[in-house]
Amino acid sequence: MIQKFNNKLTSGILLASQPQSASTYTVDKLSQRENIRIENIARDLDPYGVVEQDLDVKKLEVALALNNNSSFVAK
Amino acid sequence: MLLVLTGNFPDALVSLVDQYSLPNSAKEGAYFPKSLDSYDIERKCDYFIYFHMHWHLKFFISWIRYDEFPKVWLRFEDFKENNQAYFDQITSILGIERINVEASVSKDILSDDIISKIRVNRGIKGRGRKILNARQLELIKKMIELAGVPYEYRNYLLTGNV
Repeated sequence: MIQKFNNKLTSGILLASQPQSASTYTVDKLSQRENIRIENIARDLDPYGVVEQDLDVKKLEVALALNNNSSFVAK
Repeated sequence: MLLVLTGNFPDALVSLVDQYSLPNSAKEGAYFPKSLDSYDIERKCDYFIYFHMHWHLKFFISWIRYDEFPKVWLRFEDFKENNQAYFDQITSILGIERINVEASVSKDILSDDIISKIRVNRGIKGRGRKILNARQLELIKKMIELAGVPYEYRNYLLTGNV
């Protein structure tokens, strides 16, 4: 699962989830594998409560840096 | 690898109403109506159709249009039907070891207490279409059309059928 982000090769699974699609359950199960970590890269809930699935690029960059050469699932 | 988890809109909306109707649902800090808890089911569904549907639609369309990385579409309806087969599909795609999961998490075999703890859609397939009225279903259909969702996805979003 080698993917390119910002011209760097890295590994990862990005879970794009419609609300109420069992995403939390799916991520929890995937993270049971020893070599897969979870990184939550969604923006914090804003006052309108409608951005739970919106991505925070800064969080993504941190997740990529922390998981260099290892697998992680980002939700 | 991009895994896209989807579900039909009527079931998802009713599940969303369920979630925010729970006494411990995290509504604090968000601009939900203060009287949301007092809304009847029709009014709650109206609220989420008007204020959340457009958001769901925009994400859905963005996933259709995104083609930078390999993308795999996964249906919540398949998860409810047979969640072991659903995870077998995922682990096969990712090339990782099989993950054993509990038997189907449908409401038919698990208690409400357990289901509420695992925070999954508690309804069975088609529950949304039974709870939403004809006006609301027509409104969802109209929004899907107005948003320009490609034809091949529309029936799925409305019914869960492919």
